[in-house]
Parts: sequence; structure tokens; C-alpha cells
Amino acid sequence: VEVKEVIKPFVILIVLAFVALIVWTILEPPEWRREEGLAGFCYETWYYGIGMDAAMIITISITLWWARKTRDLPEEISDSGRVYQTLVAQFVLLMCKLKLKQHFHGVTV
Amino acid sequence: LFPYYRKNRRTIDSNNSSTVVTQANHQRDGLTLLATALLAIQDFNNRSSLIAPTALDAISKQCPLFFPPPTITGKLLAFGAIFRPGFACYSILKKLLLFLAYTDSGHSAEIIRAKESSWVPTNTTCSIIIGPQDNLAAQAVGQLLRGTEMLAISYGATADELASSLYPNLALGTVKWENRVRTLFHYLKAIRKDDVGILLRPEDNLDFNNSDFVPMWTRVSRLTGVQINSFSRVDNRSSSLFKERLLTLRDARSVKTIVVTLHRDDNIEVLAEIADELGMLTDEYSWILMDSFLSPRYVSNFQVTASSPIARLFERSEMFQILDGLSPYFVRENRNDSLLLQTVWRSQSADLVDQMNSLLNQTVGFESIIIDQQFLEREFFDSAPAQGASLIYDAILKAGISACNDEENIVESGNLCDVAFDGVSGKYEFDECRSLKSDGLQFAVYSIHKTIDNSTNMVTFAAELIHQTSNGDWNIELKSGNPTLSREATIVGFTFAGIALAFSSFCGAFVFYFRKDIIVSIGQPEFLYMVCFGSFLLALPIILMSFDEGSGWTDGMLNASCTGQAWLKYFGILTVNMALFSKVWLFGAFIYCNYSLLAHYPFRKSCIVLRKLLKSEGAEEWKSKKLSSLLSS
Repeated sequence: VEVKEVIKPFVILIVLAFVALIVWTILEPPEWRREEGLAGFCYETWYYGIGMDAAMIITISITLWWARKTRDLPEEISDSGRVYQTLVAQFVLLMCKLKLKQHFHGVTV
Repeated sequence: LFPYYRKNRRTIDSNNSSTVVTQANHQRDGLTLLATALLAIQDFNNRSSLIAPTALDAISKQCPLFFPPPTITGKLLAFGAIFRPGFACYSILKKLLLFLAYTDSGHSAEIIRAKESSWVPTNTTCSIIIGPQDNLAAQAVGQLLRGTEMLAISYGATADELASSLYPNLALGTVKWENRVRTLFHYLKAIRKDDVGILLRPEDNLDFNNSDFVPMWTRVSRLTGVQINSFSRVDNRSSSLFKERLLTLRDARSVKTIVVTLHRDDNIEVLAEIADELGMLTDEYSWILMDSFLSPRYVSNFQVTASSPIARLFERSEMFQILDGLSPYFVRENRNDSLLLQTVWRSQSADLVDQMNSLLNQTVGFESIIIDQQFLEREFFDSAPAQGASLIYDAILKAGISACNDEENIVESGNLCDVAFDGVSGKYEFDECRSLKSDGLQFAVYSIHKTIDNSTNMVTFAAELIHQTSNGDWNIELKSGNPTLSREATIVGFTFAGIALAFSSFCGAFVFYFRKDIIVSIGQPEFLYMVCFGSFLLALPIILMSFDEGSGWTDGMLNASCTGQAWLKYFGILTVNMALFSKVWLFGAFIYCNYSLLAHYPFRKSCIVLRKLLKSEGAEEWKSKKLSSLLSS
């Protein structure tokens, strides 16, 4: 089975993520912070974190879109329905995480 | 020179609360501080370890550093003429250390005059200033030192002041309120109090903004895990406010232990009367009176009837006292290891008095202080030095040790922060070079016993020590300021990560083993591997998250761990999501391309790929056997 044709978006996105992570690591790597009396945490410059989250939203959205289109296929031959359910759950969690990030600015949740 | 810095403040720790502290007392107290400072200099120069046995161990034998004896400094003491508050700058010898004796009469005009005379100490003349507790003095020092890199150990500046640019490089030699509160909470936790209400009576001279004071208590209670059920705060001395606040505590029904922080001017009788009026002097309640300035002897001032509110308050009270260098306990009681009070202090005599006199006589501008020679010699060392003496002693040792430990024999903020030793005032170690650390802060708890005089039917009180910590024998673990991950948290982290890693590995192996199976091969093992791999990556950061400083990781390691976590989690999640996408897309496209659904397929071009795919062996077999029946069903 030739997967390399459909894997193109996958490869492109991973390369982009790789580049973004390299830039992040070089310019403003996440750092360990601790305020007196509080638990320590990894501090991320917000736009990098948001950027990576945006990439996640994109991947989830396109997968959701296509999983939804094919979700009615019989379960024996396609797991689109399950993928769809899982990703909806993941999407909801991601939204919660972003909301929390807004509250705890800079704190990795 | 060195007049008592708490002049004109009546303190409740006096033996008799109505005693007016006389000028002679002030003078004596101030002079004892000076004598302590000279004693510290003398001990440092002799490398004598009588008073603080472990303190001087830190100094290498080769250390060439000595404080110059005060007699050489006559000329320099003429600085006193430049501005009235007395400076004594011992800077004749090559190694420069400065000791500042400062009065509390720092008039701004004189400071301005000093600045105009361009007498501003710089690193070339002096290296450290040690000042007694007095905000005015601290301010004056701050003004003089603006723009210099001069270090100072102060006893009086507040945290806010320390943070401002006015105070260039000050370290606070007293214990921050936050650390006092922390120690109190550790005690509350140790005696298992979970029904605590706090009645706050902030002092005027706190190292906090007023607005920060209550949040600080809340924060510390959260840190130490002590549940505080109610807070009340009394900002002024009106008894109606006292009543209102106590009422709040009473209405919070869960509150049975009431911690009262007393102001040194507060009238405890008023508190007792109000508490009685509100019915809070019953056995239902217990009280903890907290005040650093409250001497255990304070209670012996009272002689009241057995049924009076104050008697019933004392019956149900414990006194909690932080034993820092300023607490009366240190200087008034016979503390075993405080040699300052014992043999060493008492054995001082004419030599030290001579030194003081030569200092005082040579200091221009102090003619007005008449020293009674007889007074000095006869009684001076009979009773203990004034409050703060132990802090001054330790500060001088700290300056000396810091300079000795430095290769170039200078005092810098770095080595000033690094030096820690068991001093006279307790453990003398600075917290970020700002305040004495709270770890191992000592405290004493007293219960109050009454004695009834049958003839007059009056009761008197005596405080009895029921708990006392000294370095090391307090078996409750005192947490440091920064909570680190517990061992349990690490174990939970490893367990979760282990489950996730094992499960993703197992799934990967499962797919590999059954890769030829028709159902698994329809599921496209390539993508299934990727999902497993991505999940594996996603689980790894949990392991990294399970470590912090408590596990001995350095900041460098933790920073690297943070970067690693970002890589792993984002790569993991993107791999999983994209693998799922590719998988769903491929299969969906396959269906669309082949079963009359082409018109609805958004990526028609990729059907070419799928035709190739159909030619593969597995697909043909699968198609012929299963697909048509499945689709028709």
C-alpha cells in the first residue's frame, strides 16, 4: 500500500512543527520558573504555545471534517466514527486548556 | 552615639508596664549595643569562638582581615563633625570594613550638608554598613548611599523600602513577618489545630503594604496546609472595632482557636473584656497570643481577681513567641547558649569600657552626651545588653566572614548571601540576601499559670515554657518557602507515564503481530504505528514533569526538561493527529473513488493514488471477499 501520497500533509506539518520548535528553542526556550511560595512550572512565551496549539487545532479540524464525512461507513471497515468521537472529545479538552491558559497566563497547563 | 533606638516607645515587655523608660536607661541600652559591636569586632579579630562557637570555623586561618581597633580611628571619627549622626568608619587599614553607629536623630538638613561636603562613602573607603533598627536611620543611610554600590545590613528597613532604589544593597537582619507567620502555622499544624481564626492587629512598621498583609497570611496558610476559618483585622484601637471583629470570629462557628497578634501598645484588658462580653472566655475556646515583643514576664504584671476577664483569658491562653534576635526572651532570659548573657558578657570590664570611651570622646558632635564613668564601669556588664545586641554581633561577624571568604577580601552581596552560621541570634542565614531565613526559626510557647493569694483573693500569673525549639530538635519538618513535588506525586507521575508507555508499546506490538490480518491491514498499520509512536511521545513528558528541585534537579536541568517537554508533547500530539487524518483520508478517499461517490469527493485527483492502492495484493483480496457484501448491507 502506498501511503506516501496521502502522507504529504503529515510530512509538511511535521516539518513545520520541527522548524517552529527549533526557532522556539533557540530564541525563547521554555524555562523553569518558581515564584516564592508557589509550585514551580514551565514558563512558555505565550505566542509560541498558542502557535503550537493553533497547529493542533488545524490538525484536529481537518481530521474531524474528513472523519465526519466518512463517519457513517460500517464499523467493520472504517474507524472514522471512533476517530470522530475521540477528536471531538480532544477538541473540547483543547478548548478548556486554552481557556485555562488565559487564566494562568504563561503557565503550562 | 547609639542612643536607644526605640526611644520614646513604651514597651509592654518592661518589668512594670507603667515604667517610664528614663533617659539613663536609653543611654545604657544604646551603649550596650555599641559595646556588643565592639565585642564582636574584638572576637572576630581574635578569631575567638567563645560566643558563637561555629561561626568562625568558616574563616580560613590565612585570612588577613582584621577590623582596625577603634583607637586608631580617631581622625576618621571626625566624620561625626560632618553630620551629626555618628559614623565610625574603620578604614585605615588596607582591608576596609565599615561599622556604622547611627543615632535616630538623622535630620535631613545634616544629611544634605554631608552630601554637599561630598562625603559619600564609596567602595574605596568602606565596604559595608551595619545599622541598628531604626527606619529613620535606614532612610538616612539610603539617601547617603544612593548611587553607590555600598552594602548594608539593616535592622529597620521594610521590605518595600528594601525593594526601592533608595536602598542600594541592603540586607535585613531581622525576620520577615511572613517567616514569623509561617513558623506560627507550623506550630498550629504540629498541635493539630484545624479550627483556627485569626485576629490581626498589624503593626505600624510592617515589612508589608497594608494591602498585602492579609493575603500574606492566606498564602502562608495555604502553603503550610493549615486551614484558617476566619480572618479579622483590627486597624485601629477603637474598642468597638475590636468587638465587631471578635463577633465575626464568634459567628464563624468552626473557629475554636483564636490567634491574636498583639500590638505592643494594645491593652490586653480591653480585649479580655470584650471577649468576655461576647461569651468567648469559656472552655470552648482556646487563645494564642502572639507578639514578638511580648515577654513571658509580661503576665506577671497583672494582679487581678480570679473572676476578672483577664484572668479567664490567661487561663485559656498560650503565648507564642518567635525567638529572633529582637525578642525580649533572648536578652532578658537566661538562654543557655547565649554566652553573650553569660560568662563572656559579664566578664567584660574596663578594657571594653575604655574602648567605648575613646570612641565616644573622639567623636566630634557628641559632647552633649555625658557618660557617667562610674555608671559604665560599675553596673554596665551586670545585666544583659539591649534588644538587638545579638543581631548586631552576628551582622559584624557576617561582614567579616564574608570578606574573609572572598578571594579579594571584599564584601559583596554575593558572598554576603552565601555566608551562613549559627550566630548568637540563631541561624544567621539570609533568604535571597533580603531577610533572615525562616528555616529553623526558633520559637517558644508558654502556658500561663495562676497563683491565688488567699488573703487578698487576688491572682497573679506566671508563664511556663511548654514548647521550645532550638536548632535541630524540632521534629516537625519545617517546609521551605517553595513547595516541591512530594514523593507521592513523583510516584503517581511515573505510574501514569508507565501505563501510557506500556499501553502504546503494547498496541504497537499488537499491530505488528497482526499486520497481515485482514482487519488490521484495512486499518493501515503504518498509521497505527504512528498513532502508537505519538502516544508514546506524549507520555514521556509526564516523567519529566515528575521532577523538580526537590529531586535535586538544578535550574539548568529543569530548563532543559521544560524544552524537552514542549518538543515531546507537541510532536506527540501532532503525530497522532496527522496519522489519524491521513488514515481517515486514505480510507475515505478509497471508498469515494470506487463506489460511485466520486462526484462528492473533494480531492478527485488523489483517486489515482487509490487506484494504485487497489492494485495491491491485500486490497484485491479484501475487496473481493468482504467489501461488496459489507457495502450492500
